[in-house]
Amino acid sequence: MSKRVLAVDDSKTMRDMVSFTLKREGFEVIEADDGVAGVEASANGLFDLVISDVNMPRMDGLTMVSKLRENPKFRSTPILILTTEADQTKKAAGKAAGATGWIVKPFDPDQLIDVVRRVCR
Amino acid sequence: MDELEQFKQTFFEECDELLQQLEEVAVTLVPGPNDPEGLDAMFRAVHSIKAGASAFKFERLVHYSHEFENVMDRVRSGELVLAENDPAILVHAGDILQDLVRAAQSGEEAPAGLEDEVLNQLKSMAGSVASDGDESTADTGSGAGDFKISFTPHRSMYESANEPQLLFRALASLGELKTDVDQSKIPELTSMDPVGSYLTWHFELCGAESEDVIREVFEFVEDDCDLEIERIGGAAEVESEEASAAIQSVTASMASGNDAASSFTQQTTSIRVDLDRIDRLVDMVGELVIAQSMALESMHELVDIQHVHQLQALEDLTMRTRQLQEGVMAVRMQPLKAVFSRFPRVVRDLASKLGKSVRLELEGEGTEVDKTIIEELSDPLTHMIRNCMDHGIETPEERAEAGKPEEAQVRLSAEHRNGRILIRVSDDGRGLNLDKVLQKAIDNGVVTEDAELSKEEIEALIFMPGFSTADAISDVSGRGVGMDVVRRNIQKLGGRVTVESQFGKGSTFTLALPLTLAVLDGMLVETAAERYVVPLSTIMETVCPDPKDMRATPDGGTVMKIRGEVIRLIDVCGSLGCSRHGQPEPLRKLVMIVETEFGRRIGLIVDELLGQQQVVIKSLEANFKAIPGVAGTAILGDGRVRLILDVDGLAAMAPTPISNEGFEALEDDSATADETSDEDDTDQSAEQGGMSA
Repeated sequence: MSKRVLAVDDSKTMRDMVSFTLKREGFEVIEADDGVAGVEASANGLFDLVISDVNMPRMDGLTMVSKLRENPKFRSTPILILTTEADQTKKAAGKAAGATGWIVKPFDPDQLIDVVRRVCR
Repeated sequence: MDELEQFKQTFFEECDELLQQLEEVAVTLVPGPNDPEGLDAMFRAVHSIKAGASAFKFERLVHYSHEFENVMDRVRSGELVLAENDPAILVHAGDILQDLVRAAQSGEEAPAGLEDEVLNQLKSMAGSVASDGDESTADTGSGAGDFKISFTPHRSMYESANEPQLLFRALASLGELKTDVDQSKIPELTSMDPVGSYLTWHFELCGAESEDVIREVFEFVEDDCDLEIERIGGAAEVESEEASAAIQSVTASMASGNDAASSFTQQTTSIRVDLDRIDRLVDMVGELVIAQSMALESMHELVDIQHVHQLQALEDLTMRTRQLQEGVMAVRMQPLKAVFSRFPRVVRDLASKLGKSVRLELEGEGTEVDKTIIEELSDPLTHMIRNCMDHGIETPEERAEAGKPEEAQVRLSAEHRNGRILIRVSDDGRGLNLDKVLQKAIDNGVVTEDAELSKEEIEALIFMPGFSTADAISDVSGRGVGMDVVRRNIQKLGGRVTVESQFGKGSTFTLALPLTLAVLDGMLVETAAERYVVPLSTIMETVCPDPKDMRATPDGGTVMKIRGEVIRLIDVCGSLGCSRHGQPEPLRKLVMIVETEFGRRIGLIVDELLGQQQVVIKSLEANFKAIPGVAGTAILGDGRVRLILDVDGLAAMAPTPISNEGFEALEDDSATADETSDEDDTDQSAEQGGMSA
C-alpha cells in the first residue's frame, strides 16, 4: 500500500511541487490549503508523513503541528515544516512545536526526497 | 499525464513572475557592491526556476540555470564582486534564461548554441574567483575519509517522531558502515521508563565524502542527542568545537522561538484566482447594485412614518452594497508596477542604442488600476517612452550646448485623482517647437493657414493622424503613426491624453484614465421623453447656443459656431430613428459638445441633462444586435434599460466638417426665423447661456 502524505500549504505552486514530486515516488498525497484545513484533513484517516508550510492564513503551520502532536494518532508521525530560508530561529521554533525536521524553500525534488527518506520509512 | 501538464502550467506561470523579478533586479545592477536583498531575490528566482525545471526534467534549462545560480550565489555571498561588464552579462543571462523557459514551455528545442556564449561568460565570472572557491571547500569540507561516530539519542528525539533506524539507513548510503550498539545503560526491567532512551551507537564509516554530509544526516536531531564525529587519523577537535558552538546558537535561538512564531501570522499571503471567476463576481455585484437601486426607488414612493424602519434598513443595504461593489472592484485592481517595471529596461536599451544618457525615475508604481487597463496600457506607454527618448531627449552634446546636464531625466509617475488615474511621462528634453508643429500641420492640411490656434491647440496637433515633426524617420519610434495611435488606445479605455510643453525645457504627457472598465461614468440625458447615457469622458462641455450661431446646411444638417470653430450638430432623437410621438419640442435646446476618438468634435442636441451616474455596461451586441450609434446598454435604478450612446458611431453619421468660410456662406437662420417659423431644429428663441458638464 502506498504511503499517505498530508501536504499543507496555502501556495498552490508549492503544493503542486510537493505533490508532484512525492506522487512520482509512489506516495499518495492529500492536500490542504491552510492549518485549519490540515487539522480537518488529519481527522480522516492515518498519515505516514505531514509536510506543512509555516505562514498560512487562518492557522499557521506551527500551531497546526502542536495540534497534531496532541492527537495520539499523530504522536509518532513524522512532520516536516517548510521554511523560507535557512533561518535557525524558524527551524528551532518548528522543533519546539513538535516538528520532526524541516525543508528549506526553494528545494529541488531530489532534496525533498532526501529529507523525506530521512524521516519516513 | 493530464495532471503533469497542469503542474507545468503552474510552473510556467510562476516562471513569468520570477523572470520579471529577476529582470527588475538585473537592470539595476552596477559594477561593485549591490543591494543584498536584490541579489538574494535574483538568486532565489534562478534557483526556483532550476528546481521546477529539474522536477519536469528540462535538462537544458536545468544545466543553464545551474551555472547561472552558481554565479548568483557567489555574487550574493560577496565572494564575487561585479566587474565593469558583469551587470550587462547578467542582464543578458536573464534574457537567455527567459528564452530557454519559453522553449521549454512551447516544447520546441531552443536554437542550438543559444546559451553557449553566456554560459562561457558565466563560467569565466565564476572562474575568476575559482581560487577563493577552492579554499572555502577546503575550509568546510574536510575532504573524504573515514570517520568514527558515536550517537546517543535523548528521549526528546523520539518525541519529535525522528527514527534512529532511518538515520542509520541514510548513514549507510554515505559509505561503508560498521555498527556497534552499547546496551550497557539499559536498566532492570522494573525500573525501566517505557519511553526512555538507553542506547548508544558507535559507527565506523569508511569513504564518506566529508564530515558535513554526516552532520547533515543528523541535522534534525542535533540538539536531541549526544553526537561525536571523529575523523580517523586526527584533525577532529576543531570540528567538534564548532559543532558545540552551533548547538549553543540553536539553543539560544530556541529560547526566542516563541517571538518568531508570533511574527509569522502577521505576514500577508495571497492566492491565485481565475480571472473568469472574478469577472463573474463583478458581474453579479453589478446586478446586485441594480436590484438594490430598483428596490430603493420603489420604496421611496412609500415615504411615510410607517415605513421608516424599512427605509432605514434599505439605506443600510445601499451602503453595504456600495462597499461590496468597491471591494469586488478592488480584487481586479493591480499595482501599476506590472507595467512600469519593464521601462527601466526599455530606457536602458534605447539610451545605449540612441547614444543618449538618460535616467528614468519611477513614481507611484504602487498605484492600483483595473487589470484590464494595466494590460492595455503597456503598448501606449511604451510608445510614449520611446517617442520621448527618440524625439524629446537631445544628444549629450546638444544638452551640453544648451547648458543642461548631459544626463537627461525621464519621469514616469502615477497617482489617483478624482476617481481617475493620472499617468505622466515627463522629460527635460527639447520640448515641442510650436512653430514647427504648426507649419507641419499646415503642410499636411490638418489645419488651414489662417487658423488661429492657442498654445494648447497647437500642442494637441501632435495627436493628429499622420503627424510627425521628426526630420528623419528612425527605427526607434514613429513614422508619424505614433501619437494618434496612443490617443486612440487611451480613448478606447475611456481616457484622454494631453501634452504640455515648454520649448527647450521639456514636455509632459498626461494620461487620465478611469480606474475600471466595468462601470462607466455617464451623463444621463433626455430627448423626446427617452433617456440615454453619454460616456462622461467624451463630454467636453454643454452649451445653450444662441440661434445666431447655428446654421442649416444644404444637406439637411445643422452646424454651430463656437469660439471660432464650426461643429456639426446631431439630433440624438432623429439619428437613432426615433420620432417625437407628439412630444412637444423643448423650450430651449441643449448642445452637448463631445469629442470622438479621432479628436473630432460634434454637438449632440438633447432636451435635458438629468445628472451624472455610474452605470454597469451590458453589451447590446451579445444580447440583441449591434446598432450604429449605440455603444451598449445599462439598467438604471428605475429598472429600465437605457442605451449608452456611441459618440464615434454618431459622428460617423454626420457629414463632413464645414470650414469657417463655408459657415459664413450659409444663410443665417435666426434672421429668417421670425418670418418663416419653419420646423428647423434651431428655430427656438432660446435664452443665451452656457454651462459646462
